Amino acid sequence: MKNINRRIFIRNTVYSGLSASIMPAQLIAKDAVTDDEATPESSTETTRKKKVIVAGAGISGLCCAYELMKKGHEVVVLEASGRYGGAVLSVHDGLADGLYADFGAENFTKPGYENYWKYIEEFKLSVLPYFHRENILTRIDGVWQTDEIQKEAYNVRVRQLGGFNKRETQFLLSNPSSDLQLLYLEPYFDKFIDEYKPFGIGYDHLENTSISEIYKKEGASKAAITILDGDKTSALYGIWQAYIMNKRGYDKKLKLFRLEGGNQVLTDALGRRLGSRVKLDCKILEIENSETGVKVKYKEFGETKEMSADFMACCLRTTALKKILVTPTLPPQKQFVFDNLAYDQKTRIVFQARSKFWLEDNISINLTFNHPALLKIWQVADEVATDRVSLMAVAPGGTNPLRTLEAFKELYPGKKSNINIEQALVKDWSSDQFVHGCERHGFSGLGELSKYWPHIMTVHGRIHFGGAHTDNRSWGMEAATNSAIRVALEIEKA
Amino acid sequence: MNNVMKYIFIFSIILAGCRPNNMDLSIENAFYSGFSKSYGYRGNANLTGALMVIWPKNVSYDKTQEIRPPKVKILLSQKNEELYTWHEYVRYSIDVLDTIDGDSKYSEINVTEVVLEIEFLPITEGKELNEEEIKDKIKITEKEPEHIGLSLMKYSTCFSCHADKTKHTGPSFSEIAERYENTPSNVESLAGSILEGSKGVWGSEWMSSNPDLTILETERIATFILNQGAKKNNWILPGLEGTFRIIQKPENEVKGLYVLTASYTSASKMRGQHSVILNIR
Repeated sequence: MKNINRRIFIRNTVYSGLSASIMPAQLIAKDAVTDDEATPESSTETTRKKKVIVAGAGISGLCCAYELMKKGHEVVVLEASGRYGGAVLSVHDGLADGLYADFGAENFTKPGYENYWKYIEEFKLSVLPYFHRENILTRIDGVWQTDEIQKEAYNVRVRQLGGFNKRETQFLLSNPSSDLQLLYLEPYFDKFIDEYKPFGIGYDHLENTSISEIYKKEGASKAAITILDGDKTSALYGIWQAYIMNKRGYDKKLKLFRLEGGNQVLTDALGRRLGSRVKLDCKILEIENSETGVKVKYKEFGETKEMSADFMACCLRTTALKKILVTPTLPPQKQFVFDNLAYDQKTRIVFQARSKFWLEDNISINLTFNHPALLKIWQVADEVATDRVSLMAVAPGGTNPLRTLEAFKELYPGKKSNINIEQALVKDWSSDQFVHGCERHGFSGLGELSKYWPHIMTVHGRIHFGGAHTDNRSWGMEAATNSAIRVALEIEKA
Repeated sequence: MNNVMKYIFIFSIILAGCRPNNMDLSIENAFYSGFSKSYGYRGNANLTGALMVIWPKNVSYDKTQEIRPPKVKILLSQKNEELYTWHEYVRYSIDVLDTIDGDSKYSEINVTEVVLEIEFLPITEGKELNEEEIKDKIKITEKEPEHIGLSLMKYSTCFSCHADKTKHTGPSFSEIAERYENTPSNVESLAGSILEGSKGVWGSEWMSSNPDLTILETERIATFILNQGAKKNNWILPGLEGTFRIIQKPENEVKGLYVLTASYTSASKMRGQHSVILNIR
């Protein structure tokens, strides 16, 4: 018990220091809200002004509320925690010289994130390129390997498996090996009409077939079948996801970006425009769903209150929804989603170092450790003019940050005496009371997709369901903005 | 911990171990009106034998006022309803008041120390229960000292990713129990995963390691997970609030009882409990 008590003390110490530093929201966005920008568009003549309760002020709830506000609808956002932004969380306090880091959503891409990019342009936010997935050193079986070494190991494995066939070899002359599956899946893309509708286009039977069977049927080599590794992945799910990736250009080389000052700049911009429409510390307890509207019981600073509206845009994670009583009971398909949807859980640790110590060792700081207390690390906020640096480390949920630091020191591929880390801040999402979970898991298993889709996004009565988990891919801020805009349109048309 | 702190801590434990077990702990029956009595639930149930100390007879209880067991109360969302129906959702919240830790109303309570245990007791058709029989039923469910595995899990971060019967990030206890029989070798194997962390057994997500725990402690956690996961009519829900769904009507039963027991273990290692019975029709 002594050990456990010590552990709790360490964790609580770190958390309390952290929460104190984060709670004053970092209102550092460079954009300014003018009266013109904040003025809602008037509702169209054919659309009645509606009152909408938005549940949750994560990026999805904020975005949905903003869209509805612009259409002239009356919106109230009820947020259980004391800040808005949810899993978009940038930290500045506790770091020296203007350094900062994103504890939550870390980057966005081009191509991709189309709806997200629209807000960047609308709010005139500063974007920076992000190179943390380039020039990576990866620790495999205790040995540090460059991308080139891994590529060579890949080629050796292909040769050992008998090599690719002529068609595959020809395809790979002009495509990266990461796109090999497209050779066999692209012919299936034509039937898709709507990227949100994988069922009813003639592929339903493929839900219980493994995607390996598709590769075999299409004449893939043993090497390709082995490397693509799809024995446990439903063919329908695999084809659907490959189609979405292809449609959005994700199978091309992606460029990564982040917002200058931290990605929270965007949620801050949304929140400021919504103003007092966002009510913090308002935890929803019960939702009464009827044919004519919704009635919500919520707790505001210990006092139970009620609010009615024409519609609800529910942008809460299922981890929060599980705790809310919804009457009448939602259909079993929706309840299954609530009970079974799984999320990633990560701990983010920000290290501050006195200098770019890794340069003395002539190595990259984009390091993948594959260690239970430290998965990977990279540099953030590299544009800040200072010798000091901030590093972002990722570990499984529940990891003690001091163990992460210990693992870093033990396994760092350069000279250990060069390490000059002087500060550690932590955010363990797995213990967050309000944002309990990062990105949701997929539905790739045989027979799994129909258990979740489309039920996860289906409207029930006057409740419309948004949030990143309800989109067809789970990439954080893209999925969040996509789902928010979908829900806003649904309510606008309802 | 310096010597002064150690002395205070030990003294607290001594005081904690000597409280009467049945104070402020009542079982309320939502069906039988006016049925609300104390049944002597253990208010300090998780004290280990090593910490039990005989209370000197010449010391008055009044002197223990500051460290009495925390008050725990279950609140249910239904309005004046005496009957609950099969497959109905119930929202609950738990109020905790501890003289040292504080009040859940002001967010002063460590929510990881609050647990709701739910047990379903079937009642055979045609066999109405009188008050005494209900008391007997409740005695059956009277809690043993909290399983040390559960106590250890509350101190660690297990419940951040795992739940008893539903999936979150990692597998539920019931999924684990379904895959692994409760055998010494499986307990040892699971304990190893808890201690070292793991990846690839239930998916691609890493489970963090728990090097602060001892092998014995991880074995106790593994034992608890396998025991609890195998229970079909018993659910463990951590935290101060949530919802649960009453089971569908079993084929051979028309009635049943849901015994809800909320517990909180204070920083002074005192455990408070409160139980409520729901009559299911």
